[in-house]
Amino acid sequence: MPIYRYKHRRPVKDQEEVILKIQLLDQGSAASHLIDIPGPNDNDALNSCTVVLGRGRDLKKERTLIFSSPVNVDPNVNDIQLEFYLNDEMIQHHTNPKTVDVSPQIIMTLNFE
Amino acid sequence: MKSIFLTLLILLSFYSNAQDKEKISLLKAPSSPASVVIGTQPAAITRPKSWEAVEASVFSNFLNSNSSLVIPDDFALEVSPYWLNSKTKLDIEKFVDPNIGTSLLQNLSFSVASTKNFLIYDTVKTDAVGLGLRTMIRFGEKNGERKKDILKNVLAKVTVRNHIIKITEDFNAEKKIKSTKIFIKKLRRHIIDVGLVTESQADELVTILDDKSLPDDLVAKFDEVQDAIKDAFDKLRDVGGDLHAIESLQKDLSGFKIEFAAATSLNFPDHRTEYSIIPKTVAWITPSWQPKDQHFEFLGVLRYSWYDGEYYKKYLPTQNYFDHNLDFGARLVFKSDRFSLEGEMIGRRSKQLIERTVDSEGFVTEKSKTSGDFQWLLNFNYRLTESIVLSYNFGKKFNLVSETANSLISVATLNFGLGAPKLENIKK
Repeated sequence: MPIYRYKHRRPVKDQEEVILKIQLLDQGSAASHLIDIPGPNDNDALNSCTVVLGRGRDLKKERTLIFSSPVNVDPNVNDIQLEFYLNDEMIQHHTNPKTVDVSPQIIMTLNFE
Repeated sequence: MKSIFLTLLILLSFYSNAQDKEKISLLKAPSSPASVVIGTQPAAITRPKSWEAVEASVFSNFLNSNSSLVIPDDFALEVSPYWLNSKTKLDIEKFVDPNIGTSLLQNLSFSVASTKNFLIYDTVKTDAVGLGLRTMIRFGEKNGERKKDILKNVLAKVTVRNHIIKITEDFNAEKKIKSTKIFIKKLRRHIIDVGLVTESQADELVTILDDKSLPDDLVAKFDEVQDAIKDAFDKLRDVGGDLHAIESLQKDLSGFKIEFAAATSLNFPDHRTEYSIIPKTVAWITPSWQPKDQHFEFLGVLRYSWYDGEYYKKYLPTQNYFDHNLDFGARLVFKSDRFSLEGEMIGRRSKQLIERTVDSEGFVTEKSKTSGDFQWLLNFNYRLTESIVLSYNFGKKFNLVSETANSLISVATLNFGLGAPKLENIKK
């Protein structure tokens, strides 16, 4: 199954702190995320999570990548859904039917400028 | 032809007998108690998924344009608070392995139903609202730990996949490698070195990728190669199989469970919302047990109904009623490949207060009428051949609902299956 690739470009002030929130939407959902922020400190996170990405000036140096692998084990839920937020603003809603992929791979590329 | 006609006649005679019996399944805790208590069968039940949707549904249906209270016709709403709270809803550990308290909350739902066709005086249509709740507790959830283990395993696998896909992104960003073959070779070495997979797993991954005949132009086809690596990893670690196993365990409803439900009706006999009466309140308890091997099945029922005697006297004078009514019953089934044996019994106890007096010394004297009845049935089925089943029913039905004096049931039937069309016949 193809990987779901999303890109988001965002202006950010040097001193601004950027917070990423990944929100699962349905019961029976779980997920593993790998957040690759500029520098050596990558983060692994599970399920719905909130991660401080850092200050604007550091984030502008390189792209930030988020690798998400959501699953859903409720037989009554047909779709896998999750949402990405930056500082409480939704930037991407992902949905795919479980009949298409029970274990989708998502790559979200964030470019801060 | 003659024998088929004879069998049909026997079957019909048995069918009419079966209609006389009270069915134990009708006494079970209903899925929408609020609708059952006002005697409606709504075309659809609204099940909102957020508190905002609950609010919108209630306001849009129960308030008119002047913000006055109205009773909607053929309306049914069911709200499950546990699943409306995003914090409890998304607790995956409690979802796959709920304890008894969590199970009770997960299955708890409140229902509201309304109608404009609630009959009084046999023909007069009035407004009525039903309010109900139901829940269920499952005991002996043995699969919880297993489901948690499989889920932990799945998350560990997809975490490794995230890291492998990240490595492919890093390699591609370097823009040094142009050939898919060299890319996969380098990836194989790297994921072994950083401990993401064993050497044999890495070899299997490469074998799966080799079978895909990927284009060698990595620069032009990187996304295609990356998709193939994801698919190869899923195939290697069988992520889909693990998820399927958890879903199968989620669907497994074997074990002991008790369903509870209660509902009350509210009638507005003169169409004014300021004046209402509660004619009837009902409570259900339904214990059941089903072992994993599917050979046995047990179902118990307990239904208690309270009726407002004054209401029935005034608005439903022709109806036969009791102040209190208790229905109880049980069914035990044993099934094997060749035969099945089923025993079922239902009892009923009813009581009605006729008169209550208090004398000058404070002694209370109550006069009441009571009624009771009992029915039981044994059913035996034996499969003589693939398409012929011999059935025998023996028992006693309720005297109350029997139109004849004879309440004995003793019926033997021979059922001929005509069979489904065979594949070769369809092809012809």
